[in-house]
Parts: sequence; C-alpha cells; structure tokens
Amino acid sequence: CTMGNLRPLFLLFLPVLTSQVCPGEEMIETTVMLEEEVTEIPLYATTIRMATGQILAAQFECYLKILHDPPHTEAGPYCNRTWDGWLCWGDSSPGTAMQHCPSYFHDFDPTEKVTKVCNPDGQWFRHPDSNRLWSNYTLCSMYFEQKLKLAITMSYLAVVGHTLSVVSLVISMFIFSYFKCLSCQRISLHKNMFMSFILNSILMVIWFNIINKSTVSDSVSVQSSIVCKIFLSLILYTHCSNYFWMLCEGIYLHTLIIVAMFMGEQHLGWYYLLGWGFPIIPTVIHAIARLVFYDDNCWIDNTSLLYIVHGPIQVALVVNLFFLMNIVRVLITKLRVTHKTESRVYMKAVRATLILVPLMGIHFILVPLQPEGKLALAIYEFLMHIFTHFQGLLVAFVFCFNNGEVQSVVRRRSSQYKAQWRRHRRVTAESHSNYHTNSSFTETSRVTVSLEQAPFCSEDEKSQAAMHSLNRQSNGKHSYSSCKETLNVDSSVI
Amino acid sequence: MLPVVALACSSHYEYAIEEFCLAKFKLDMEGLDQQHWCSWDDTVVSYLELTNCTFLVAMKMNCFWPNRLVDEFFIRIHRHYFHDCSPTGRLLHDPPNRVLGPFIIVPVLVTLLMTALVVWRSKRSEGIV
Repeated sequence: CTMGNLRPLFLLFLPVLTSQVCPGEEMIETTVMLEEEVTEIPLYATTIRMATGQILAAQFECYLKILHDPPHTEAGPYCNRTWDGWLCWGDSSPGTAMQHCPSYFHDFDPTEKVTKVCNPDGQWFRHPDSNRLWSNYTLCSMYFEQKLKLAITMSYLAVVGHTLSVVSLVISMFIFSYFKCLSCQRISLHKNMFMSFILNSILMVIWFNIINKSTVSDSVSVQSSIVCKIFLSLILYTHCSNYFWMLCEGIYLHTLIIVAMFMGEQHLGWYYLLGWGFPIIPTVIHAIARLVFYDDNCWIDNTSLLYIVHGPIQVALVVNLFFLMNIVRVLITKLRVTHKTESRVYMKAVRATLILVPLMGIHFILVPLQPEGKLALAIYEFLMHIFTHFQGLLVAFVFCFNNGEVQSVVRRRSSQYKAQWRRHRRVTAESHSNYHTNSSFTETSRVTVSLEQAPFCSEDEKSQAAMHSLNRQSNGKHSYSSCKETLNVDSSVI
Repeated sequence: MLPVVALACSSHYEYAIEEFCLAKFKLDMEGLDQQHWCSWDDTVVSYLELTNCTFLVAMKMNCFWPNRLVDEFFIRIHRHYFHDCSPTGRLLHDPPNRVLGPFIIVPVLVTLLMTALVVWRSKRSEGIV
C-alpha cells in the first residue's frame, strides 16, 4: 500500500478534509483538531490523539536531530537525512537503512523492522507506482493477525492456569482449615501464601478478561483509567506478595532448623509483616514513579520502571535460595555424620520448598533468552505462560496434595467415613480417644520422628490435648510445637 | 493507476507554505514569550497547525507529503525558533539512569533490610542471639 505514510494524517484529517476544505477557494482554512473536538469521535479519539501526539513529538525531535547532527564524513554519494512522516532517517550510504517499527498504532509491532533503501546515486528510493519517496513499513503490521491469534490463545491459557490454581488452592485451604490436627506454624504460613496466590489469580483472570474485551472491540476506555491503574498496582502487589511469602517459608525453615534449633514457637508477626506488609513499599514507589515519569494509558507499557517491583522479587528469590542451600548444607554435612535417619526426614521437610523456589524463579531466568524465529518464539511464549500462570497449581500440589501427612490424614478420614457408613454404628468419642492415646504412647520415644508416621487426627480436643501433654512430658522441655515437622533432637547434634 | 508526477512540488509549493502557513505560525510564536519557545506544551498546538497546513497545501497541489521542500522548510523553522531546545523528552520515555537507579536500589535495599530484620526477630527472645 503506497498510502502507508499518509495513514495517520488521513485519520487525523478525516473530519477536516470532509468539512472544511472547499476546492476552488484559494485560501485554505486550516482547522486544528483540539482535544475537546476529538472526544466527539469516541471510538478513535484516544488512539488518534495518542498517535498524533507521538508522531508530532517524533517529528519535532527529528528536525532537531537533523539540525544538530554532524555532517556526513564518508566519501561518495549518500542520501540526505530526512523525516519520512513517521520516523527519522540520518545520512545513509547507498544500501538499506533499518530501524525498529514505531509503536504509534496498535497493529504495529515494535520488534519488526522498517527498511528504507538508498539508491547508489544518493537519492532515497521512490516507489515505482507513485514516484514518491517511500519507506517500507509493511512488515510492521503484516503478521498482526497471527500475533493477535497467538496472544489471544495465550491469554486463554493464562486464564485456564489461573482458574485451576484458584480451584486447587481453595481446596488446599479447605483441607488445611478443616483438619485441625494439621495446623501448626508452618501450615499457617502455607495458608497465607495460598491466600496471596488466590488473590493474584483472581485479579489476573479479571485482568485478562478486560484485555480480551478491549482487544476485540479495538477501543481503549480512558474514563476508567484510574481504576485500571489501581488494578494493575493491586496485581503487582499480590505478585510481589507471592514471592515474599515464599521467602517467609524459607526464612521460617531456616530459623527452625538451623538458628532456633526447634526450641519452640517463633513469633509469626514478623512473617506477616514481610509477606503482607512489605510488598506495599515497592508497589507504592512504582505507582509514584509511573505517575511522574511514564504515565501512559493504563500503565500497560513494559518500561524499566517495572524493575522497581521485579528487583525486590528477584532479590527475594536469590535470598530464599541462599537460605535453602544453607539448610541443605547443614543437613547434609552435620547430620549425615550423627543422625542418618533424621537428616533424611529433615530433608523431606525442606524438599518441598527447595523444589518450588527455582521453579518460581525460572521464568525470570528465561526472560533474557528470548529466541528470534517465529516457531521458537511461539514455543518460548507457551513455556513462559505455563511457568508463570500455573504457579498456584504447582504450589498447591507441592505443599498440600503431595504432602504425605495431608494424604494420610485425608485417606484416614475418608476411610473413617467409609467404615462408619458401612457399619452404621455410632462410635463414641471415648473409645476413639482411648485407642489413639494408647497408640500415641507407643509413638513417643527419645526421638519422635513424626514426619513419617501418620498423625492421629480427630476433632476431639481432649484427646488432642492429651497427645500434646504426652509430647511435653517426653521432651522434658517447657515448650512444644504442635507442628509435625518439629523433631525432638539433642541440641548437641547441630 | 497512472503515476502521479510531482511537478507542482517545486517553487510553487515552497511559496505557498511560506505564504499561508508560516505567517500564522510566526504570529503564534511572537505572541508567546521567547523563553517558552522550547516548552513543548506551549508550542505543540501551533506546531500541529503548521504541520497540518503544509500537509493540506501538499494535498491541494498534488504533492506527496513529506518531501524535500518540507524538510528544508522545517529545518529553517527549527533553526530560527527551536535551535536550543532539548533533543529528547517529549515522548514517553524512561527516566535517565541516575534517576531510575535510586528508585530501584531503594526497594532492593529495603528488601534485604527487612529480611535481616525478620530473621533476627523471629527467634525467641529467650537467650538465643
């Protein structure tokens, strides 16, 4: 299309050309599309205004550059510096000059290239049909349809991932809340982390729905831009809080195993502060910086300002990895010598968190490795979306569904129900508690390895209290932790 | 499609834009304080009018836009009015590194600080340091 260069100006001048220009008159009335008039055409208003503003600013800066750039030094004919209507071109030797496509229009892909040919005689290429100076912008929008289809497919994948995550996390929360015997400090941290993932997934599903609607109808609603920005900030907050709750898990394990040596309960208040309170800081700083420096429509653009949030996230991942490596080091070196069985058991406690941290961080590692080819890029996008949007499902699986304790508790409860259903008999609470108290007697020993054993789980508080008092007595310590990962070990071990 | 020969785009075009477009622009700029000539917000409307005008004249005269004469015209304009203006800053762009740096470094440092604080405080206060 040879009219490519004229497109923005045509859009701009459509009302002008049809209403104001009267052929035959010598004086041409120039009308200016002021911002107030532009809003009368709601569908195109924002896109035109934004594109016009950008193009005009680009033109201004181009002529400044043309004015100030040093003269061409190489010998031989060259094409003069020029403004082609959309982009600035400097003095070029004969050949093909290339630039990235501008981002004025929604169907222009800034990763594609614009080419302008300089003829050997020092003149810019003229299109054979119209004999006008012509730059090749065809690649910018050529693959738009395909890319749009891919983007829509990816967004469906993301919605599926987040929905599955929400469902699995809600089930996990229910399991953790219903089975009171499982509850301990570590499970409280799990529950908070699950809550953060659930919030993030819900917000992302709503966000993708908004994006899909605006892509299909090809309009950007400006009226709700404040809502849009607040929404994006909330998404960034919950995203940040996901990673910081992972960090809390890592710090908790580190303190539990290495620092505090199972001496008892930790103060969880600080963890809540780090997990829920701290992510507010990068989010607010990002919002302020965005408002001051890069206030684009709905804050959709990918700018370096996003590092304000992603920087702390990556730091959290690295610190988390460091803590976990330290734990592994201690478990392997010190405990292998003295207590072989315990170290294996401790490793199980750490294994879940150790698997999860690299998996959550992997998409940050993959970001700079973006390939070039179309197929490779599609595969890359697919993998990145899987890693990013199915995280909630992964977390629910690793921490809850794959957890031996949870599995045994659920199995035990379901078999209880089955037995009750089959027998049709009421089992009294006392006979229950007697049975479990007896079994717990045999369980307590010098080193209680409670990770391996299926814990007893009944809603009878008396029997539970009895179990805890037994633990207390066998420990000889003042404090106890109801958390099943705590192990009673000699302090000389570590 | 017959090739459109841009013969009219010679001195006639140059004369036309000097007559019709430059006059209004000159008036606008003289109405503005000279210190504000480099302020994009103050001059954008006049600049837009000027650009529109050159485009319309080109359309009237069957010229394509932009062309060599338009380039020269705008170079003269910029040389006279916008010679000292900053070469960047009108488009949405990231702030320079010396501004961006602190915005990124500060949350990172606060992260490390908070982590250290949580590690230190989560121990029980009974004699464990």
